[in-house]
Amino acid sequence: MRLTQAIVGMTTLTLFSFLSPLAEAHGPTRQKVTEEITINASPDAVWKVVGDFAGIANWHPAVEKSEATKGNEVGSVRTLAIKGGGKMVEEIEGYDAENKVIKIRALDGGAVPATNFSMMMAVTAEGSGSKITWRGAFYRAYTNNDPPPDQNDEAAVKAVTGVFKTGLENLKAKLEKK
Amino acid sequence: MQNARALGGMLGILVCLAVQAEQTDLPIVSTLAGESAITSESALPIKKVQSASQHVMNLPRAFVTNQGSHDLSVMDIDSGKEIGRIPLPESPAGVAVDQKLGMVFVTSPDGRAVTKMDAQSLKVITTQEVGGGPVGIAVDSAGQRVYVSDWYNNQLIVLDAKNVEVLKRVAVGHVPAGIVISPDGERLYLAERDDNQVAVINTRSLERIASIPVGQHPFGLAINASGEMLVAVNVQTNDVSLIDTISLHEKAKVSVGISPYCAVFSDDGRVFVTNQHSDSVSVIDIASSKVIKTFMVGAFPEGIDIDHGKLFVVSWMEEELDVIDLQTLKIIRRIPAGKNSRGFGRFMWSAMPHSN
Repeated sequence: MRLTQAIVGMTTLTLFSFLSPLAEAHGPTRQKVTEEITINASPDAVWKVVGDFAGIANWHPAVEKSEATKGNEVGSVRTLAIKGGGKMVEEIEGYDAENKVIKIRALDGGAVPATNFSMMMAVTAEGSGSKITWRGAFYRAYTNNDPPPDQNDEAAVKAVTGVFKTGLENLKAKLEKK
Repeated sequence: MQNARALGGMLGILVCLAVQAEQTDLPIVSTLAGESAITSESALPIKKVQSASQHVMNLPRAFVTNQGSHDLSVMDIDSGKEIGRIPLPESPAGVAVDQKLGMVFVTSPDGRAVTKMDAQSLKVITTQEVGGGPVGIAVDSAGQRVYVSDWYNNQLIVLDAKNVEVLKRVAVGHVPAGIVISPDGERLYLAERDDNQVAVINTRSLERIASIPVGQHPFGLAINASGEMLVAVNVQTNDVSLIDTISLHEKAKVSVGISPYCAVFSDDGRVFVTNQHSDSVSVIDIASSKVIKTFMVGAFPEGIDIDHGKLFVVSWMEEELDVIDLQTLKIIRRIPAGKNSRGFGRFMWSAMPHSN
């Protein structure tokens, strides 16, 4: 039920997409979110899914469709169609297949009330399985003092947390299902 | 300030016999310990110094702003320990240390305030509301004035260093960020982020001398010891502008890592630049205007300072201060900080108060 709520929460956020200003402007206090999950699958198997930049629609329940311009190359840009409307455009900033780390920057973070949004996903071995760490750094949507409640720091953190959690939970369910 | 810093660097760790005068053997021991503390922690003399730490103040100290926990981490570099945590108004970011008087000044953008603290006793002397969004901060070498950039209201706030009272508000360009003051105290340089330029301001008249176009979104600034070279770190164009302060022109643009943020000069002709999204530091050779090395540090490196032959980098993501050997460029210590640590400004204190 929590998962459903989070997905609903996330899709309603697309309503705010028109409020998201250009990625350049931001307030002075950057926020961060780190989510982790352990998955009963080998790091290679997890990386095969997570490391496929264009393939996020295959595992993130909020993403309807995704495609990338240059595969997993640095500078490749993917466009995500969000379920319920809205889109996100993201670019690869760093890709380290050996260490299983991908760094992504949102060029148009329309689906979440955040600006200057960058994130990192890393897959590491954990016992006989894997651990995925997904962390993001961003500023709230409102770029001046005294933000309205739907564009303040808390709103941004809540939205990003929702995106990460639902994604990781679904990824786990998918990979552990034989 | 420069002299005091240089002196501190030459002596290694300075020790202040703040309380107990009878421990006169300690300064000599700890001068040696300062240089060898990393490789020989188990050596006896060092333990002696550390066990006497209640009475002995080691330098340098780092003052790292923690924007997420709304406080300031005070770190003793010699022992690699946080020795104090000072609560501050909301979201402290910028920091400046008056080397001579041993005073720390901190901006709190969300608290809309500037705080002055004694670097030795760690007592807050005063907190003054200045309004807007104070971010960048610098104190002049005479210890008389503090300058603060107001991110929201596009102004430079001039404060008297004694009482932190507003002397003047000067209208500047859009989204002012990093501030440095020339070693002679005559000029102030201010990154006007959204105007993609550096303002050059006469500190006496507070009038603008020049505006120097740089890359996109300059944030951190740094100036060398002679005051003849300035660096502006351009976040959006992933480069730094090397500026000749005599001609007031950009001499070169040097590409660095992704989303660079802050920089600092060493005395041997290098500039060190933190790259937030690359989790690295770029080392630029000034003479050739080239990156000669890039090395990894804690993720989202932000504030950077230099002292006692060591480089200090604040990692926002890992919430730590990385202590780096200037010659080997290896991380020799990682000192835990508070939440969302930033250290935007010159955060190291290297000289005893009232030292000659």
